[in-house]
Amino acid sequence: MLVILGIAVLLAGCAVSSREEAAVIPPAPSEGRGADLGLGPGVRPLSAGPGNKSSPSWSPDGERIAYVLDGYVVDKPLFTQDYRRRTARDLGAEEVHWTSGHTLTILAPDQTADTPLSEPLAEVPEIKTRSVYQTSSEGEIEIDRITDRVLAMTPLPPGGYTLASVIDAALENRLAIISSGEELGRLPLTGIEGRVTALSASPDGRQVILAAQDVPGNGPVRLYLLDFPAGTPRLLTQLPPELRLLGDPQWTTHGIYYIAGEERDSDAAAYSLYRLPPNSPAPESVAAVGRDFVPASVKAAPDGERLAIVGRRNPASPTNLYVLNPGSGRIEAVTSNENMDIKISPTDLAWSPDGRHIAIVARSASTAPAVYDTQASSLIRDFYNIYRVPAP
Amino acid sequence: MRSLALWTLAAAGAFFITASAFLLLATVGSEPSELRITPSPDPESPSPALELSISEERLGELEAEENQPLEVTVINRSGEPLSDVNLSLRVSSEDTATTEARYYRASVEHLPPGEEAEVRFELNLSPFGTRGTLDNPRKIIEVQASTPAGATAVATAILTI
Repeated sequence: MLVILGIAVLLAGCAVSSREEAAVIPPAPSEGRGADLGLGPGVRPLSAGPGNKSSPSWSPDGERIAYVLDGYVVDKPLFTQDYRRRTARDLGAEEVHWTSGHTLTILAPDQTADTPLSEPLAEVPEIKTRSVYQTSSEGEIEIDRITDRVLAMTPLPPGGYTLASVIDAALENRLAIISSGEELGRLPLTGIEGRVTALSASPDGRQVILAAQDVPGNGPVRLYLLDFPAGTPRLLTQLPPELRLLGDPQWTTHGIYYIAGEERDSDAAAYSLYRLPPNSPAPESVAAVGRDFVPASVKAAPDGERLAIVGRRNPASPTNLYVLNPGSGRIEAVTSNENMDIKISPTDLAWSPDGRHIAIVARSASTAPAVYDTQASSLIRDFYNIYRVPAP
Repeated sequence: MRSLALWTLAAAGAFFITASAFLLLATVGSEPSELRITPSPDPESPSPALELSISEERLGELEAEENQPLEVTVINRSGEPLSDVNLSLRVSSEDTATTEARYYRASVEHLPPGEEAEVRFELNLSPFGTRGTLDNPRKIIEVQASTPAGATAVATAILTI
């Protein structure tokens, strides 16, 4: 018995060893910068090689990361190159969220454009709808189309569910509840003026923030709060008509944070970070980030106690990732950008489930040609890749 | 009977010590993958027999058009002559949704030890016909050299044209 146990222990040791040696992200010695990836100390790459990567999303156990790669969805262990394609290449995926176990929820172009269902939307051509898909099982690239005519979606913590704002056949707003490859039902969104173009949920999933506009991208933005699932939307505030919302409003324990500003041609300096305090209809500019701060995207931590913000200290400074603690007002730069182009889309920013790391997407901003003595698949800085940044 | 029991106990103990030693070695030998992705050159790796060189200055002169000349230098770093050095060059896009790629081949018949040879390619660097998801994708020029004897080298150039 002891002998069998000993052999088992020995074999287990060998098995662990061989698994760790498989398909580790190869080093890129020819990049010649040691551990410096142009984003500061402690930052680790989670992907390598060419391809336009976006919308990172961590698995619930924090061991894997999914993202959109040139329009399709892949996932992989954090530090190896064992890519697993999860969708067909021509899906045109825009957003992916790892909602539970092996299930990825994906936002992609609406496939109903040629069906009678889409005809009423011809009356409001400004509306661009999309479809929600979910992966069906691990290792399969077949996905299930769950809901069409979607304007926005958000995972609903603590996990497993997804909410999508949809327009039904009568052009009414509905909140579709999605789980395990099917739409479980739709809640009416009575009392909301316009279309729900952005939404997010509180960490406990009991409150949902909705942003609505008369026509998406046009007209005053109104923020609503919905006590999920039984409540009806309650108007929190209406933004001045000239202000446009960037991304989804974020729920924190100290109020709702959002980025808004006047839309000017390529002038992000017009945007500011705002806070809507609890039980107040009056938004206030967030002074903690500094008067000249130019925010581009914001994402609340899973516990709602911190905010990850991609932005610039002032219009002339480089884009960096910052973490703001709304309770203390302390803001800290967690990257030190050295000529890197950090993606600023709200979907290109993701917290790890334990709140210890943030994923961003970046590539070198250098336009000078470069030569390496390694294959392109090993290069990191030269292409858009996912980076893991430690969060304070 | 007692000596048999002692012998069994001693044998089992020895086995466990050996198994633990193997386990420890396996753990030490395979450092966690988390530690491995930091770029760090291996100072112990031997010098390659073949080396490829592309001038960054020349790359800077290339334009996104057809008939762009590019010289690639092949260097024999070994102490032996190399024959039949085959070079393959691939021009592709950073945007992997663009599956189109352009291939070129050349060869060097004989390369004495310590010598180098310049190989000239006429590249088509015009935009690819299929559009991907990036507005201005970078172009990738990957050159691979190999000999029948097994010497290999690779060079990758990144262009922002």
